Amino acid sequence: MAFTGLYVERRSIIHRLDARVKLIWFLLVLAASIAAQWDGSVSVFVYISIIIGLILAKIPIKRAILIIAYSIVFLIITVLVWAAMYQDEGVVIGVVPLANIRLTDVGLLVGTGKFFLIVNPITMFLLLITTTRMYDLQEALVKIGFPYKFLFMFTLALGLLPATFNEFRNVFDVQKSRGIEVDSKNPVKRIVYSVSVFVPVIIRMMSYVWDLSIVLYARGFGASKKRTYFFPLRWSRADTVALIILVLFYGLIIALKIAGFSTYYAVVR
Amino acid sequence: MSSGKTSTALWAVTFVIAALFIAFLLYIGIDIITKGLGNPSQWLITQPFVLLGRTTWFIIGGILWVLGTVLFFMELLGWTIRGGRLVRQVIRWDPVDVSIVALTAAVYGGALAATGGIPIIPGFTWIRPANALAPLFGVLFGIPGALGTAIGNFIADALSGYLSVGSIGGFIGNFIIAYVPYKLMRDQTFRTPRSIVEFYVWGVIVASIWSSLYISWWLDALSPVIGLPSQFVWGFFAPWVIFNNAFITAIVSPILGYILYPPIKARGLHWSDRVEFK
Repeated sequence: MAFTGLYVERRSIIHRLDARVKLIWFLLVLAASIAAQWDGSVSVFVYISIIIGLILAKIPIKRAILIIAYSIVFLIITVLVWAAMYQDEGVVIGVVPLANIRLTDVGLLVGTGKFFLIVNPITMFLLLITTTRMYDLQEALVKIGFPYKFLFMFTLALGLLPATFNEFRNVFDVQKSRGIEVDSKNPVKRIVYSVSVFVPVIIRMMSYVWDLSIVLYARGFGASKKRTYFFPLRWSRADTVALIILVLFYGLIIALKIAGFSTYYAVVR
Repeated sequence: MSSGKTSTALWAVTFVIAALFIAFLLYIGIDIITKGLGNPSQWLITQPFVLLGRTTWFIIGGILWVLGTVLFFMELLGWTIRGGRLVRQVIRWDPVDVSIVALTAAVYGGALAATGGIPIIPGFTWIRPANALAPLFGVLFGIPGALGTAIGNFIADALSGYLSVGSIGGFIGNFIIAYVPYKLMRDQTFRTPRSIVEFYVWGVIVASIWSSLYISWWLDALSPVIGLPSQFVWGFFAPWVIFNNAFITAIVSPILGYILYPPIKARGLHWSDRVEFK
């Protein structure tokens, strides 16, 4: 299973893009979010562009909801923290109940800008790993100079995650069936009970080390310094077009921010 | 006094030290709950950060960051400090080492995700029992275990949707949690009073503080890129990470270490059986 279930197989325009385009997309999102971090009214367009990407990629709604739910928690915390720091600057919009913080337009712009600075790369990363096979991502990263062995360890660990989850589930069930407590409402007891879960899981997982290494030896792992790929990455015309659109869009956002543009001051006020 | 009585007395002292240490951490936890999560500036564990101020901690964090980063790359490139000298260490990075890294990463990342957080204040704050595995993997598997811990944390960040530029700091920060006890504990058997005391000093106190300051410095220095305010980083994040790591590792890791050391050693997977120094 590629990227242990995080990759979702779909026939979409985003899935067909070369892994290198999506990596550059990620960097562009990061750069645009940094440039617009003091102004949520501009960085919101970066967020919208990623949401459009998620829709085009036909990402399952469940996964999208998960990331949006996280985003709401971040939004509340970030806006409150930054609004508190900027409550004496700009026009007062209202007072946040309970926290007793004066919410100003400057505080709101900075708060939302900082929120998008955190959330945009996270959401873009979700888009990247949901639409890109680990095999392709690995090849793209090797091409830009990352050591293959390190990336392989990463991929192997991800590939072993479902087995790890199964081990945890089995050990939980076995220990419960033996009458050994593994859960409690008391936090300290729960911490102590975790020992009866961790020990069997670690011993079982570590017993795989020799088996796994024999498999790797048998397949000639590390025999050749240069790794070859059965399905090499191929750059198409669609990748060039997509890259031009992405560079123009995020480049425009960065240029507008450098020029001092703000959607809020240009449109709302 | 006979050696048997001396040993018993040493164990008794060790247990008292461990109990006092855990009691102190429990007291810090109760202090946080009673004063409220919304008042981090009043917590007992935050007082050193409040008293010394952001600038001092930024300088201390910067020094620890440079030291941690240099050690991280030095160790991975095959150099280490031994007996006060810079020496070559031969980690083969063969399929066995690769398997150790992958399996420790899968167990650590899986444990962080599978065991979930234990809520201290439901919906706001939790502690993770899986954090106890980080120093343990360093002590048992050495550099491959520490690298596995770092990768595991990165994977857990990706699975929970928190992967960002900050995760790069978390990557090396978690490596440090595993690296410090591996490198500085002289007796790693968890079978003598000395071993337990060494673990509390290096694996619990030093590793937790170093790792927390390392990540906090990264978050603060890159706040224009990451977006977290300095007040949050030093006033909440840093003390909370210290407490979280120290609390879990103080209770669980020595027990796990005592149980797991013999089977890991017997399977020939302990770092001392796999690393050569020149």
